[in-house]
Amino acid sequence: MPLDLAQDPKVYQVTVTLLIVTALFVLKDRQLLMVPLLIQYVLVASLLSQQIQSPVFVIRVMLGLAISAIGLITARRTERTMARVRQASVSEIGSPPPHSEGMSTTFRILTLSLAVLLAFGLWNSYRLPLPSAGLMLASYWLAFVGLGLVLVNTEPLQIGLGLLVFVSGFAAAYLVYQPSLLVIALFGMVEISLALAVIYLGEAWLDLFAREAERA
Amino acid sequence: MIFWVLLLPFAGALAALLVRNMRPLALLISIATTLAFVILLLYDMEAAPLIVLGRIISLNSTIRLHLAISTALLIPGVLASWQLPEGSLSWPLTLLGLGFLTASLAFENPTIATLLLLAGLITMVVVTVVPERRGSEIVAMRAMVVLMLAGMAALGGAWLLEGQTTVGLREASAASMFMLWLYLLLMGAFPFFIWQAPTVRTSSLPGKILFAALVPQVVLLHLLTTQTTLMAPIEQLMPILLLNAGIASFAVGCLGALVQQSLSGLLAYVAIAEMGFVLMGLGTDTLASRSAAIMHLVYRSLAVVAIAVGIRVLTESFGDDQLQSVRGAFRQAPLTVLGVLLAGLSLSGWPPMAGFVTRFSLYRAIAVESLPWAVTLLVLGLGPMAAFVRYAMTAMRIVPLPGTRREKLLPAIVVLMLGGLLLLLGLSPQPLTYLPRHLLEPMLGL
Repeated sequence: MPLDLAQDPKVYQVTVTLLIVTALFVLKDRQLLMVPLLIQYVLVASLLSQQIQSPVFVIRVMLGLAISAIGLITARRTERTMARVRQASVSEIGSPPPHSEGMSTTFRILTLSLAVLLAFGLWNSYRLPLPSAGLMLASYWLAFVGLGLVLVNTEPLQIGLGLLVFVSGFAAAYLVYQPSLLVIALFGMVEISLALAVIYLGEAWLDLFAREAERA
Repeated sequence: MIFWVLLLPFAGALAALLVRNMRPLALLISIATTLAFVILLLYDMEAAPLIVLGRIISLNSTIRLHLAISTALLIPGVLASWQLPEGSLSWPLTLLGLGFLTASLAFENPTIATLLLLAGLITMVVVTVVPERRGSEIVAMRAMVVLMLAGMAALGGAWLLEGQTTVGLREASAASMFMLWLYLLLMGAFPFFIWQAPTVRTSSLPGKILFAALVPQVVLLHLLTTQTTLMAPIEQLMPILLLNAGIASFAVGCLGALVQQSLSGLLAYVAIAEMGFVLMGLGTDTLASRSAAIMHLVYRSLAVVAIAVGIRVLTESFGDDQLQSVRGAFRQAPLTVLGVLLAGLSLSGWPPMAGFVTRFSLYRAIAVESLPWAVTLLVLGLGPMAAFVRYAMTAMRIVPLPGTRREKLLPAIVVLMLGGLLLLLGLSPQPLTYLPRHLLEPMLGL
């Protein structure tokens, strides 16, 4: 029997939050993308802390803050560099550089909508044995939206963002069954390593892009 | 003692990271750490396990020996970097990744082992990036996506396996399959090889050594030592799975190698083919074929490292490693061309190279089961051989070489020495039998 959103206020709240997060992920501004990234970390942390008796809320929120902060630094630098390159290209040849900024907004909306529909459909028809319906929804939703973001983006930073969201969605379900502090800490270490790797790859891509744009 | 084994790579990585802008010092620290690590691993092979917070941490003699061999593979790469600079983070991150890999082998708990393996892989993917080469960061990001997806599936599998007594056989078998898929993916075995070839092709020298040699070797080790634990639900199925994955990987690798226009591409596909050959040997499941497969793994890794260093030398001298660019390379880089040729012929199983001995043993073992298959594999195996012969003929042409530079001497000598070692091992493999018993038995004891 499908779950009724209206009957469970917690699920309703989670759904609304996830909708806002997904809508924000449609944005192309790399700096603004850190906002939904942070929100989803806080959401997952609060959902997990209701199930696990350990300082998981603090750990996950601090993790989210750290990842969003280091992502913001690179995102800011990327935006500035892209703006500079765009300006230089328009003033020299009268048109923006040929570099693709990823898929169009319409395509992004369609892909993420499809991801949300898939997540919702799976949540209705195949329930993970999780103690909370809201947690299960968040897990499916973030995993699919993360995969959607990986598919629609072409830059390492944005692909990495999608990967981080996917991993966060996985963590929402996984850590309920692995509540050991050591596993939570190691999982957090993997996420931080992933975030640092994404930043490094993003910076490497940006440096190459800037150099090629200057040469052109 | 095991505490120092686990600590050393991390300490070395930190030290190398702190002095990364002083390249000679960073390289010295990297070499010293690698050598010390190898010595520590071999020193006390029967060290008692450590128990920390209720978790057992141990490295048995087989794992230690193979890990030592895998780590030793890094030394030629570090030596080559003396004259062929890599990114300042390359070797510190390589040591860090090695530390995580070692820790993943030391923990018996599958969840913790998988998490540590993932951390190591993430670190190593970053090493593959070549700052000046367009596209290597995109390829690295794609590899990261593949590895993380597989890693999450493996974590789910590890969790199910930990609760083997409470889940049914079907769930336990599914969990073991998830773990096996991760291992096959990391070894670049069919059907999960797609990410590995582009990664190795576009990668830096440390990245090539890691993903074409070290990681597959360590992961195979992990797979074989967990056959009776993590893989227990599918233990009966394992030989068939390995044999089939091996045959398919071998076929794909051999055919892929034939059409490559660059040495990096050739290396990537031949590495896949030879890993397939190792899996075939393990899947044939006789004592002789398993021993031959393990030796072939070691020879394969040596050859891969030699070719990887050779590619770096040729790229430095000729701009890139495309076959068109290395036309006539023998005049400017004779040692490198010769070393790469020897290593390539060993990988292809050309007599009297080291790879021929083990390959012949495996062909014989397969022929006992099915002669048509053995003949088919023999014919497929001609693919890499033809590719390396084509490389040799291209490199030895007499053509004018404008704008090229002579090979750097130290890395060229490293390549030639590795190629020479493979020739020596092929001509007289008997010295291996004189290895001390406490080394020989663990080496072949998988």
